[in-house]
Amino acid sequence: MNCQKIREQLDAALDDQCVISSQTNAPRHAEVLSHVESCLDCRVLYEEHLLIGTALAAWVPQRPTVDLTDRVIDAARQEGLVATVRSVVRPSPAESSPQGRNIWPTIATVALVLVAVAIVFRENPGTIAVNDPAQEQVVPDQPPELLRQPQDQVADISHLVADAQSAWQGITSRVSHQASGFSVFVPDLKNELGISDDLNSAPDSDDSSDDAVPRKSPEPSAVEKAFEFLFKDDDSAGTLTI
Amino acid sequence: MSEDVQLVQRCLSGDELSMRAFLGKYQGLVFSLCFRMLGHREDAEDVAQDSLVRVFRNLEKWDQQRPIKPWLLTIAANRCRTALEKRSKLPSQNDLAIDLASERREHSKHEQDQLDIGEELELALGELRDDYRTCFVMYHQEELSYQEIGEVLGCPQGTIKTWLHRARAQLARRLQERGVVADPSALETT
Repeated sequence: MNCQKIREQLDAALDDQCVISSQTNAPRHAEVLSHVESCLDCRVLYEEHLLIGTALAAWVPQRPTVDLTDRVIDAARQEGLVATVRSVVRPSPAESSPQGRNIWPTIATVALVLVAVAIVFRENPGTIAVNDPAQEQVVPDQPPELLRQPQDQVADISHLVADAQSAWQGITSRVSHQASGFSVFVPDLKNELGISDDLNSAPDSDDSSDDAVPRKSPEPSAVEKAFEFLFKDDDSAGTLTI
Repeated sequence: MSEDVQLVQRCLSGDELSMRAFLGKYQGLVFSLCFRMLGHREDAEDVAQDSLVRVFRNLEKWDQQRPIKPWLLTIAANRCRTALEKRSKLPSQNDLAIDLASERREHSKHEQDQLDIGEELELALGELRDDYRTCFVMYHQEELSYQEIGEVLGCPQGTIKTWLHRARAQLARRLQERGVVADPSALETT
């Protein structure tokens, strides 16, 4: 074996983080020894090889401890590389589920219907103020043919309430169907307002599916009392006690 | 998909927790290289911080088919070279720079008699030329290949191989100068 071959083998062994010795590779060690006995240069190289190989085996690299985390994060935040807390918040399971995502348009629809009902009532003040003496004084000069009979006005209110209830029931049944797992409050307008069946065109088919709907209490509710007070036939301005 | 790729993708979305996890995993590697190359702790901290911010800034440029460690070290090595150039242009700053080797020597002067061969190697490393030391540490500590070290330091593989050979030879000579010897039985025929 020549000097070049010996040096290549010594370097190759160190590349693999080991030394050529009788323990690691006895045949090669014997070849190297037989060469270095007669070659002083290669003997020096082999001694260095053994020394550095032994030192590498005992070397525990010192990695200085440091914590630059906060410094780096602060610098990165100043450059806009760190997202704000809100933008990295993951959606909750309810929000990420198809049911959870679909509930918000429904709620918006409910809100719109309620606003529409409120506008209808607002634009027909006579239907509300039928027994209000103050409101009657506001429109004293209307022609008699335009003045509506009290029973017609009651019917109008009832139809409006029935329409609103119909829309409400349709929407709330969809909401309660979609929002399984939620406790949804769906008021039973029909029972609450005491509207008779002949004036109510809303379908009752979904009533049985709404288990979360609170049942009507045996005592008359505050809303019932209010309507009873408003739709009394006598003109006397009584007092309402709720 | 590798763990590094997943972590990097979360970092790219700006997730702070993932960025902290990334730093926990790699800041030691980057700082270690900076400290080895610069030989001064405060300078190394500043350059490592700068390097890590650059890493986050350019994370999308990392080729996910390749290991991330050489890419990180390349950025750090470039920043270290820039810092060394600036330092060389400011002679007065040289006085402030504490040489890593002398720092280590002062630190362990009273313990030199008790140093084992591994600690002697660490001490001798501090006296090596910067290029040789960096090359030696990247190969034997970080276990990068010749090719990867060449990419990090911007040198051909042949140069890296030569530097590593010289680094070993100089270290061995320094160890011998300090009276450290190899196991003599290895030189005897069995």
